[in-house]
Amino acid sequence: MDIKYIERLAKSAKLKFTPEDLQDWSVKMEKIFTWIDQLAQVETSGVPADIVSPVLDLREDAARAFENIPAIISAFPAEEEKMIRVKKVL
Amino acid sequence: MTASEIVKNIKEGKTTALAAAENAFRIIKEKNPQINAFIEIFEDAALARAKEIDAKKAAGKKLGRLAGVPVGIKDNMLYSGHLATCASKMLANHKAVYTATAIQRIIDEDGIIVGRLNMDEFAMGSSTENSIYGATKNPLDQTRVAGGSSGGSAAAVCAGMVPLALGSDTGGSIRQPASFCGVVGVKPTHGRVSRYGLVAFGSSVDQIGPIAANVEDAALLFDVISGADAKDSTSNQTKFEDVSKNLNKSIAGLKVGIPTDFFENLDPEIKKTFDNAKNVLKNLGAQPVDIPLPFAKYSSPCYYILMSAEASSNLSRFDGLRYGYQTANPADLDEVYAKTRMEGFGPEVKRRIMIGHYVLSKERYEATCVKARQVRTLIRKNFEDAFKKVDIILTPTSPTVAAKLGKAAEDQVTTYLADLFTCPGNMANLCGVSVPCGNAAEGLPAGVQFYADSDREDIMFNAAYAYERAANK
Repeated sequence: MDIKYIERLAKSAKLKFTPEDLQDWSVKMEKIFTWIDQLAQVETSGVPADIVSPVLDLREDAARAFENIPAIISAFPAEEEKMIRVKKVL
Repeated sequence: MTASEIVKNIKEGKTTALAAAENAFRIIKEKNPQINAFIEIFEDAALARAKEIDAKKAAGKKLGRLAGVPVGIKDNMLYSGHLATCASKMLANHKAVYTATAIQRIIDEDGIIVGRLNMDEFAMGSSTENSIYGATKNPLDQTRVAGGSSGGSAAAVCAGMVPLALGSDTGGSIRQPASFCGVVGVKPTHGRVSRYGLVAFGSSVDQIGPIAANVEDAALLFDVISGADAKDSTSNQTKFEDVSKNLNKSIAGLKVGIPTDFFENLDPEIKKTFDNAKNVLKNLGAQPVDIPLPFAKYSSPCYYILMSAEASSNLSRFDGLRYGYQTANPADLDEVYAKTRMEGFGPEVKRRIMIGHYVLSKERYEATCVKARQVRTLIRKNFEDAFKKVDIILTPTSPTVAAKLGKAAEDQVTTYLADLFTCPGNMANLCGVSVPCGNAAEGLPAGVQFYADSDREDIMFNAAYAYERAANK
């Protein structure tokens, strides 16, 4: 399988393999892709592409108070008065 | 002691919740260092809770259905104030801020949560080797895997550490480890058990379910954790009768579907255990009926397409900005994402994310995702037709017994094919239970799987219970 293609897939998946690993990944992924592509042999003309319908009981689109706000705030690096500090990204 | 016996003995004053909890921790401390089923125990909190239950009993108050029963939870379920890591570096320090409905229902019925159980990372795997905590070993042969992804749950029950554990099943992750460890594992119909508080993997198929030493205990736990939940919009709102009330019904006349096009190249020893199970059911008056399921063989590739698409979407939130692990000293934002995910996820998770991006890509979407959804319709139709003629469908749970440690992941496609008998249940949204059915190769246990149609857990448990009792006579 084309290494550039695997590299492009990895980029869309926000992954980045080393050049050495890309070779290995391309061999392994090709085998898996070939296996899942066997579905092409199933005749599906006119068959609806339905998933098994989940039971849906959509709740009201309304804000609800979460019962454990202190636990959420404690997950942030720091709290200063009414402000919470988010973790540093860069 | 089984869960049902613990509850009975506590209610009759023959033992205490504290004694049951202390016994569980004694066995965990004795066996877990070799098995590695539990990755954390909550000893102080559990013993304190046991004392509260004993005080409740002493005060003459009514005890819950799981009074004093020690229960282990898979590490992908949230229990407020405790770590929930999915056995991943990505969530290694993630502390839950709320409790999963299934866990809360156990607590509400006076069950005691004793600790977190090992699993394959993000429930992706069939051996519980893909874990930052190391592999769980099969208690029946420690050179072998416990199965997966709920391997910690199955091994803990098998080793007698706890009588009950929660697992989760997306493509067989409760039933296959149950089969490998010689215990009972249940995948309920999607919607019967709330997924609130279960870390999402393949949302259209994920289900929490019980693992127990016997069918009666599995039914007891199912009755406790199942039922409508306003916090899960896919939860089934129908009020069902407890399956435990239906266990003792005779199965004489029950029609048992035997798939005719499912058993090509089946291991002869697995086939033998399956045939024995079929004969046990025949002796109980059940009637085997051959049924065609021509599309069921496509369940595994179908599953790997749809599950990977859902998993890659669900796991996109792990990017270093919001949850969990973040790489150190990134050069730019792209590196925050890529390095965080490369360092935080293990190989199997990366593989599924890559499959997900392949099948969701513009050029492959029609040929994979749409096609898989069409094939899923055909698989479901096969089962709908079958269930017009039969009450349950019988298959082996796994085409093999437990593999040697380190051997399960040698070839990915072969590993994925091991879900041959379990994936159809997820794709067609059936309920399924694996029950031990004797030993196959090298004296290792095999499981027989009872499938019933969606929401017919009553029939499934009834047949499994009747089989188990007759087989163990």
